[in-house]
Amino acid sequence: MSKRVIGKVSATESSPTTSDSFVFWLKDDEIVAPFDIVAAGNMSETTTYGQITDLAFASDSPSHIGNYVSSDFGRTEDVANTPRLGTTYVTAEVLTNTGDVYMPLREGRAVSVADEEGVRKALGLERIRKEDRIPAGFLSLSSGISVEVSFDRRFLIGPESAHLNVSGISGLAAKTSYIMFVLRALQQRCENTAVVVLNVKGQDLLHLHQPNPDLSASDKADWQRCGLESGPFDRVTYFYPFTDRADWRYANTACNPDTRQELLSDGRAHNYVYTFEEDKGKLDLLFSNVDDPNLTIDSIIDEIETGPQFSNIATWDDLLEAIRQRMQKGQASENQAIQTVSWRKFYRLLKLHMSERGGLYQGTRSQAPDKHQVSLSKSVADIRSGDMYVVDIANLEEQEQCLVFGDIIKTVYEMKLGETDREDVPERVIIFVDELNKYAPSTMKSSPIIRELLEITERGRSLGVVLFSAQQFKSAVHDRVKGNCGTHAFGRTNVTEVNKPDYRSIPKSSSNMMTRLPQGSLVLQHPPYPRLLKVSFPKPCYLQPK
Amino acid sequence: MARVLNEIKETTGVRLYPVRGVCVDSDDPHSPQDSRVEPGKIKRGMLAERDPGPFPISVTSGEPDPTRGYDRKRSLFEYFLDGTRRTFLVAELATSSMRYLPVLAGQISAAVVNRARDTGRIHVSRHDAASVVALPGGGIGINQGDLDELRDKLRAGTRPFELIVYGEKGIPDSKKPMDLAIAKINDAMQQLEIRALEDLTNRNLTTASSMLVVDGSVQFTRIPLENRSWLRNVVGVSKTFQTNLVFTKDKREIGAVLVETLRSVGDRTPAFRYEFRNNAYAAWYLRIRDRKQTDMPLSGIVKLERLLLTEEEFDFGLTSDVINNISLSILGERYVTPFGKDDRWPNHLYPIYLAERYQRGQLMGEAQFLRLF
Repeated sequence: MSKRVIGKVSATESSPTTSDSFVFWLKDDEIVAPFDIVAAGNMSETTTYGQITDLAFASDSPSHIGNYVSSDFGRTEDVANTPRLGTTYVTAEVLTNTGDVYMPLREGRAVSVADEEGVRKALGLERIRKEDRIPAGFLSLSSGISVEVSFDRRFLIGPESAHLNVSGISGLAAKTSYIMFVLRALQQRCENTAVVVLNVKGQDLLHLHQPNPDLSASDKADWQRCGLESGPFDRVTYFYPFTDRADWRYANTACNPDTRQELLSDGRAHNYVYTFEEDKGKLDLLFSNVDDPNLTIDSIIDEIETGPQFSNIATWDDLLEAIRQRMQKGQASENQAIQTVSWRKFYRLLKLHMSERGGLYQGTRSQAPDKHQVSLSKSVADIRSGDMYVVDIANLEEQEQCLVFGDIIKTVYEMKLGETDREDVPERVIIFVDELNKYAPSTMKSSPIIRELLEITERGRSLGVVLFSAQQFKSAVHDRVKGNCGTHAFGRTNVTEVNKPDYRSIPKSSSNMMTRLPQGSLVLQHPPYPRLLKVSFPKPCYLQPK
Repeated sequence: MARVLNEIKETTGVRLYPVRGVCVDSDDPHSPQDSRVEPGKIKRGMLAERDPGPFPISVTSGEPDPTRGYDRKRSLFEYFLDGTRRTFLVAELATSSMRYLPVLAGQISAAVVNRARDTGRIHVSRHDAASVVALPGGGIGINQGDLDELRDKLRAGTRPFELIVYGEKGIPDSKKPMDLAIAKINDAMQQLEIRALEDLTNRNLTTASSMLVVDGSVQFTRIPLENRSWLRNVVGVSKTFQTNLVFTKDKREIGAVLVETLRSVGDRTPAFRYEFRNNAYAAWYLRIRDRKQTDMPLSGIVKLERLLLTEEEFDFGLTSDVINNISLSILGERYVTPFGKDDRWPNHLYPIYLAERYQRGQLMGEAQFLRLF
């Protein structure tokens, strides 16, 4: 236990110490901050560790009027000969006790800043088995101490708990950077794991295989401190949506042309297409975010899949034609419940994708080598341990993004359910998607994607399917989806958000702190941690085009 | 140690009747701090100031801001002394001479705080405290031998008590036994203050430019004459004072003089001279707050006292410069105030208030203290 005493425990009639928390007054020249760890001696020669949750300064003036009077009735020019008596008092939540003694701390006990060893004890970091430690960043205290923090693998990617969700304002919260840091750590620490990443914006995640040229020596040292190499991701394969445009090398992507060409040429990138033959069963995913309270679209898709009128169809164009005929007046159907107007709406939506945005939907897969066409689901179903697949959906329409994302999670889930002949299926497959609120909005009770996501988040941890997700506002995400995430990270957010019910379980001072977090700092909630931790992490190891 | 009352009973054999602890401290915040001054002993018309000039005297010389320039770096004051006591009636007893007398107990304390010149922060320089129990002695009280034996036992306990004996020279009909006991406890408290004065002097901490302010009067009657130098750099400041003293030949009581003449902040009276037990004192009154800001006519006026120590001071009094400089330093103490915490805020000096508060915080809780009996 560090001996630098910064204050003493203060127990009063109205504010007693308890098993859970205590208050101490702070020496005048000390600076501490919420999330700092402190230590105080307890009974039986034990040490109680606490985390600072709140700071307040109080003077002995009973009222503001008293202060006004004290300045000679409102004089602003004068400085008091004797400064008014006041002190900063600090509230700390009990983290742990070295001897499992949870007696309330006695009045007057000296409070010190915790040293590195103390911080590890306080946070239970030493209880995480070495082989299960996955670097989570650094915990930096006001005292200048910086301690490496680890996730417990068993709680991050299963089997005890699983799934990571990060929320925060775009740009300020560094959500993607943090998840990529954790994924890089997992890639280096967990051999039998594969990752599928969805790139949803520009070139953000399209250069994971390239080193970050801006990493300074101290940035690299940060990686080393975490016990990680600072090099780019290994075994990265990119999947771009196919486009008819030959001048884009048939890839509908924001990746710069040189990189795209190089990757496609040497087989590290492919262009994915959807063919009717292979993907007709995924139509429901295409309409995932269409509000369908009466399940009309479900009924239509059901009829397409089983109705005799749709039995001899081989291409997306055939399907459109069959639907066009179906919505003609006078056409009878076994399912009379579907009105013609519903067919028309369905046709319009489908045609918008199939004809006006040509490329992604193909009659059959081309074997022309320069088109690099693949079936995404087949590729994903073939993923190996150590692989990182990056699926670019940035340039797709929102409904198409739903199709692709839904396709990936369905494929991975089925693969892990055992619907494959492979024996080398990775033990864990992690899927990372940004803007989770788009696929599982809080306003929608159910959709094909939500059902798939619920399968993953509720049952995936035992199967080995893990969801890493991010969004700006946690409150915008489906309750059960986020509720099943074991680990949460909070980046900078706004005042409106922290007043939402999602933040009720978080101490007010901590949630308020989230509105002031500097860029690159996050607050972590992880089952083995006794309380929230504020961490920073190394700069990204991969190229991030400006 | 057995509970204190048991110890008294067992050692002295006196018949004790416990009382559920009743606090006997006067709660009147306006009782005068200069109550030792006997009006009849003041020689009217005697000044302790050389050439004071026309009355009232403005120590600010018409400066719009009376405290400007008297910040803590220039202030004459660096130390502040305050004593405090908490006294309870814990039992009544019947003596062998069938007198029925009170048993008082209390906690007494004296603290000196130091104010850092650079930051203004207050630190405790010295703190003395004791628990006391007051019993009657002499011809009307408990046998002296029994008291001596009891004194040793009380001192030897895990929570030591000092035995204070009152009424050793009898109890005049004009005095209440309770008041005599309280006065004796007060003397004991003053003894702690004197110990602090001695210590400050011995350590050469107080000087003419680093003076000590004492809460109340500087009439420390228990200081031996040969040790009067302990009061060389000491100024007494009374928040409350007797208003019926007469210093002037025109027989006006001081309350009437003050209310009529000290109208502006910085106005003061000349230093009056009076003597008490072979010592001569200079006392003057100073308005430190605007009359409009206070509730009562004399609020915002403090009484200052200094012992006339040197032969020259004794014969001719203090110079007006000395009095004015002390007064200006007092004016510099007007910020901040314990407004809302203490009714005497217009007259309270904040460092004194803090010294008092520190001591209160150190006292044993009332219930805990009374459990000792």
